[in-house]
Amino acid sequence: MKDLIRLFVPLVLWLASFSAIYGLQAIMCRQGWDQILLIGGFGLAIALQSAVLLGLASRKYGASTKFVRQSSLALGLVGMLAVLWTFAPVVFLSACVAA
Amino acid sequence: MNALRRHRALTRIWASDPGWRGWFTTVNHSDLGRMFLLLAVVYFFIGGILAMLIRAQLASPRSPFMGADVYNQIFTMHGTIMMFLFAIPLFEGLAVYFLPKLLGARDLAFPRLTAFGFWCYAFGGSMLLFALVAGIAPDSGWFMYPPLSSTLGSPGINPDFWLIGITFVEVSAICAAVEITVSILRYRAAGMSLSRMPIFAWYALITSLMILTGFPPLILGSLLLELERAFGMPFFQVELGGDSLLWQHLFWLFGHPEVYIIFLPAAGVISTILPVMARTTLLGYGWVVVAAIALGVLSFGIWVHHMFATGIPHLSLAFFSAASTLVAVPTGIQVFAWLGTIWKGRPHMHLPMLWIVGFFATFVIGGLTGVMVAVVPFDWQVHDTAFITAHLHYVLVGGFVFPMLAALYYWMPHMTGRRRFFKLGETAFWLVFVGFHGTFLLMHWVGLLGQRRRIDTYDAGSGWEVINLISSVFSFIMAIGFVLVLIDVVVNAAVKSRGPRNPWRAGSLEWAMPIPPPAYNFASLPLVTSRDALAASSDLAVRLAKGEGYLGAPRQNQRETLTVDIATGTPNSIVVYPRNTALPMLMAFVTGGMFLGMLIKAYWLVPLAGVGIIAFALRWVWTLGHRSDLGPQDAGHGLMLPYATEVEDPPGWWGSVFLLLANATFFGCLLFGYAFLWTVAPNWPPPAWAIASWPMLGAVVTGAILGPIGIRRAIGAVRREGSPALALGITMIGCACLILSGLSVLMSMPDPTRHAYDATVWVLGGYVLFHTGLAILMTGFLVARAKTGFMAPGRLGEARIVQLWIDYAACISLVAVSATFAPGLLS
Amino acid sequence: MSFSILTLLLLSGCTQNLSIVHPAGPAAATIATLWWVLLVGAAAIFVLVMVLLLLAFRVRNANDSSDQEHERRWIVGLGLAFPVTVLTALLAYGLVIGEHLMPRAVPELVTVGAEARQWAWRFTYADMPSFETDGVLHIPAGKPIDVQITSVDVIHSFWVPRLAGKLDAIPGHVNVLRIEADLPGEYDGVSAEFSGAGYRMHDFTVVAHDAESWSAFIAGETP
Repeated sequence: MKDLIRLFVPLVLWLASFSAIYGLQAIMCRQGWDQILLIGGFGLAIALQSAVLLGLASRKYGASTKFVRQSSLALGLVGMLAVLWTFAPVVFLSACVAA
Repeated sequence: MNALRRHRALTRIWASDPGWRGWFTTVNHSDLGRMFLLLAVVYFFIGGILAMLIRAQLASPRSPFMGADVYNQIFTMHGTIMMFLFAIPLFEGLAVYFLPKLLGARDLAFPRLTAFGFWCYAFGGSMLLFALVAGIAPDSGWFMYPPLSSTLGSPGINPDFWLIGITFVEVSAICAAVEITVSILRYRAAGMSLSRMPIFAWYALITSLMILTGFPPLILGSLLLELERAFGMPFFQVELGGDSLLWQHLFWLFGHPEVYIIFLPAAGVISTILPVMARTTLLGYGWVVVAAIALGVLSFGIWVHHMFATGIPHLSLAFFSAASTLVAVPTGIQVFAWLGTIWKGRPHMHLPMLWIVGFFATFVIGGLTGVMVAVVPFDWQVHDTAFITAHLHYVLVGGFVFPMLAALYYWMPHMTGRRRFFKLGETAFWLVFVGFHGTFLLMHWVGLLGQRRRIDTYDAGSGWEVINLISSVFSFIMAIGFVLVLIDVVVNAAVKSRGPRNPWRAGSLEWAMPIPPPAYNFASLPLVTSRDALAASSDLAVRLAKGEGYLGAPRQNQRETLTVDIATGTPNSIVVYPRNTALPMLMAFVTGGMFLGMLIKAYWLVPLAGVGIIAFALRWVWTLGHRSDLGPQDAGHGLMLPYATEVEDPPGWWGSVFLLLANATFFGCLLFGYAFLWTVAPNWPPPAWAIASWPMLGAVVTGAILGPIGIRRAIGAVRREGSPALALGITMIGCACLILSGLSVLMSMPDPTRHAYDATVWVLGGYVLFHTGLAILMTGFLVARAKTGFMAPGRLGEARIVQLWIDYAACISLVAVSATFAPGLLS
Repeated sequence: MSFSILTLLLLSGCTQNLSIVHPAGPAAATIATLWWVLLVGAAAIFVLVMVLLLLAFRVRNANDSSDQEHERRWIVGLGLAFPVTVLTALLAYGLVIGEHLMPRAVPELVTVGAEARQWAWRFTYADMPSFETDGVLHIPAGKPIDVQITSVDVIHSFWVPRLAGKLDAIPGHVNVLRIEADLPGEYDGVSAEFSGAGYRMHDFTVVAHDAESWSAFIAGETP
C-alpha cells in the first residue's frame, strides 16, 4: 500500500494544487484580489512538489525496490512538469477577463 | 491424487448449480465475466442499431424518416447505451473474466459482489431499455444539461429514467471497481510482486481507481438533479440560488476521466497482445506503467475542456488547455512504446494484430484531433459541431472497440478451447475499418462547414448533403462488418475444432490452464519468479495440473485461494470463498425496487426496499467468519497460513477502504458543489443562514468523540479477552448523538425548496444521517457477533471494518456541520 | 492524405453560410488560420507514425540493438521529447491567440445584447436602450462589437461561424463575446447548444451595415 501511495502521490498532489489554484482564481476574480496571489500559489505548488520529489528520493520515505523507486521518481518528475506546464499561464495571462 | 482426480474433486467443489438455476446462483468469475461480456455486446448491437437509425435519418436533407422528438431520444440513448451499458460493462466483464487467470488466482476478491454488480447492471439497463421501447426514453442528450433536463425543459418522466437507471448501473461499476482493485492488490500468485504484475493488471488497477474517484461526481449530480426534479430542491435553478453550470462541472468531472476509463483497459489489452504478436516482450514496462498512472491522474484535471464555451475566464481555460495538451504526452509514450515493441520483435500479422494496426491508424487521428480541440480558440469554433462527433468516434471506436476486437480474437481460443476454422474475421475487419473511416473522416469536414451535432435534419443547399450521404453509406458497410464479426464468433464457437493449449505462445498465466478454463482456473496455484511466468517454464500448466503448486489438495469441500502482500507478493492468508447463492441476485432485485420506487414516484416502496436490503445485507455478512480459532493451515510446500478471517486486514477491510475512497470522493464533490454555488451562483446569499445552537454543536462533538473511542475500546476489550458490550454501547450513544445533531440541523431549516443553500444543507444532513444510521447498524451487528462467539482476540477483522465506517461517519459529521455554518459565520 | 485534403476542398465548394473555413471577420480568420496550421502539423505527425508502423513490418535481422537503446530511442526520444516540444509550441500559440481574442477595452466599441429563449433570439442595443430586434442582429461592419449573451430558459449558445467562435447563453449569467465583420453583409447565426425539439431551427441573422446605413439604423430609421 505504501508503494502504491508513493506511485500516486506526486500527481495527486498536482491535482490538489490544480484544483486549489483554479478555485483561488475564481474567488480572486469575484473579490477583486490581486493576481500576485496566484503567482504565490504557483510558487507554493512548486515547493510542495519539490518536497515530494525529495521525499521519494530519500532513503527514509522512498521505496526500497528498484521498480517502485524508479517509477515513483519518474512520476515525481512528471508531477513537477505538470505543475510548471499547467500553472505557467498565471505569470503572463490576464486572470479575470472572460470570453 | 493424480491430475484427473484432482480435476474432478475441484470441479465438484467449484461448479455452478446445474441448469437454469446456475444462471441466478453462480458467483463464479468466469460465469459472471461471460454474462457481463454477453450483455455488453447485446447493448453494443442495440446502440449500433440506434446509430444506424441516426445515419438513416441524416443520409438525405429534410428526411421524413423521423421527427425531432424521436430523433432526440435516439441520439440520447445511443450515447448513453454505448458509454454506460456497453463500454464500462465490457471492461468489467473483461476484468472479471480474465484478471484472476492473469494473476494466478482462482476467483476475484468478493464473488458475491461480482454477482450483485452484474444483476444491478442487468436490472438498471433494462429500465433504460424499457424506456426506449415505450417511447419515453431520455431525450436531452447523454450529458443531460439542466435546465433542459430538469422540470423546466423536460417535465415528463424521460430524464428520470436516465438519472435513476444510470445511477443503478453505476452501483454495479462501483462494486466491480472495488472488487477489481482489491483482487489486483491482494489476490495474486505467490511471488508476483508489483514489478512482476502483468501489464493488464496495472491498467485495470488504474482504471478501477479512476472509476472509484470518477463516478461519484456523476452519482452526486444525478442525485441532486433527481432531487430537484422530484422535490423542487433548486440546485440548478438560478433564481433560487442554484446554477446550471454546477451540473456541467460535476458531469465532466466524471465525463472526462470516463474517456480514459474506457481507453486505459484497451491500452492494457494492446500492451498484453502486441508483444505476443511481435514475439517479444513489451518495450519499457516501467515507462508504460508510469505513463498509465500519469494518464489516469492527469485526466482528472481536464474536465473544463468540455466547457471552453461557457464563459469561464481565459486564465482558467488556460489551465485546462495546458493540462489537456499535457495528457497527450503519456499517450505519446505509450504509442511509441508499442511501436518500439513491434520494431524490436518479429511481428506476425494474425487477426488480433490486424485489429491493432487498425487501432493505430484510427486512434492516432483521434488523438491528434483531440490535441486540436484542446487549443481553446479552435474549440470555440468546432465545439458542438460534427467535428467533435467525428473526433470522439475516432477516439472511442479506434481506441476502445478495435482493441476489444483484437482481444476477442486473441482470447477466443482461450474461452472456447477451439481454433478458428472459418476465416470470416479478416473480411469483417476490412468492412469495419473501411466503413469506419468512410463514415467519420469526412464528418470532420462537414463540422467545419458548420453542421452542428444533434440536429435532426438539415436543408438542401447547405453544402453538407454529399458528405452526409457518404457517411451514411459507409456506416452501413461498417454495420455489416460488425454483424459479420458476430457470425464469425458464433460459427467458430459452434464448430468443434479443438485448438492447441497456448496457440499464440504467450507467456502470461492465463494460458497455464486447460482451455476452455475449468471453474477453479488452476488446479494448484503457481509460484511466480518473473514477469512472464509461462515463458520462464513452459511446462508450468502440466505441473500445476499435477498439483505441484500451492493449495493443490482440495480441503473440506472449500473453495480456497491465496492472498498475498501487496508489494512483494508473499502469500499471507488463505481465503475461503462463499458457495453458490441467489442472495446477490435477490439483493439486486430489492435494490431495483428502491430505484423503481423513486422512478415511478411510489415513495412508499423506497423504505420498504431499504428494509429488504438491510435484511439481505445482514444475511450476507452473517454467513462469513467462524466461531472458533482454526489456526494456521497447510497451503502446500510446507507453507502454513492463517485463514483470511483470522488476520487483522481481511479482504473486506481493504474493500471498505476503497469503497470509502469512492464515498469520500462523493462527499468531496458535494463540498465542491456547495463551495461553487456559494462563490459563483448569482443569487447568493440565501434568505437566511442556518443558526448554530450550542446543544447541537455539543451533540456533534460528543458523538464524534464517543463513536471512534467506543469502537477502539471495544476492540481493545476483545483483545484482552474481555467483554466489548459496554464499549459498543458507548459507540451507539456516540452515533445517536450524531443522528440527533443531524436531525436538529434539518429541523431548523424546514423548507429545502427555498434556496439552493437550504437544499444543500439537507443533502449534507441526509448524508450524515445515512452514515450514522449505517454505523449504528454495524455496531448492532458487532454486538450480535460478540454474543454468538464470532469475535475473539484473533478474529477482529470485522470489528476493524466497523471501526473504519464509524471513524468515517464521525469525520463527515464534523465536516458537514462546519460546512453548514461556515458561510453564515464568515459573512 | 494530400489526396483526401484535395477531395475535401472540392466538396466544400458548395455553400459556406456557416463555414468556419470561410471567415468574414478577424476572430474567425485567426481561428481558420489556426485550423490550417493544426491540420498540416497533425497530418505530418500522422504520416510519421504510419511510416514507422509500416516499417516495423519489413523483413530485417532481429534484435539489432538492446532494449535500453530501444527505450532511449522510442520512449525518451519519440514518446517524451517529441510531444513535449510540439505541444509547448502549440500551447503557447493557442494561448496567445486566445488572449488576443478576449473582449478587452478598445475605442469605438459597440455593445449589443443577445437574449436566447426556446427557440428565438432577441437583440438589444446599448446605443438605443428601448429598441429590440427579433431574430436579426444589426451591427456596424469593420468595428469591434461586444455581444452580451444570456438566456431566459435553458442553455443556448451564440454562434456566428464566419465571424467568431461560440459562447454559451446561460440563465443567470451574462457572457461577453467579441465579434467583428470585415465587410457589410448578412451572416448566418445559430444556437449551438442542444435545447430540445426546436433546436435545429434556433437560428438568427447578423446584418453588418456600412457606416452610412449604421448611422441611419441607430438614428432609429428602419434598417
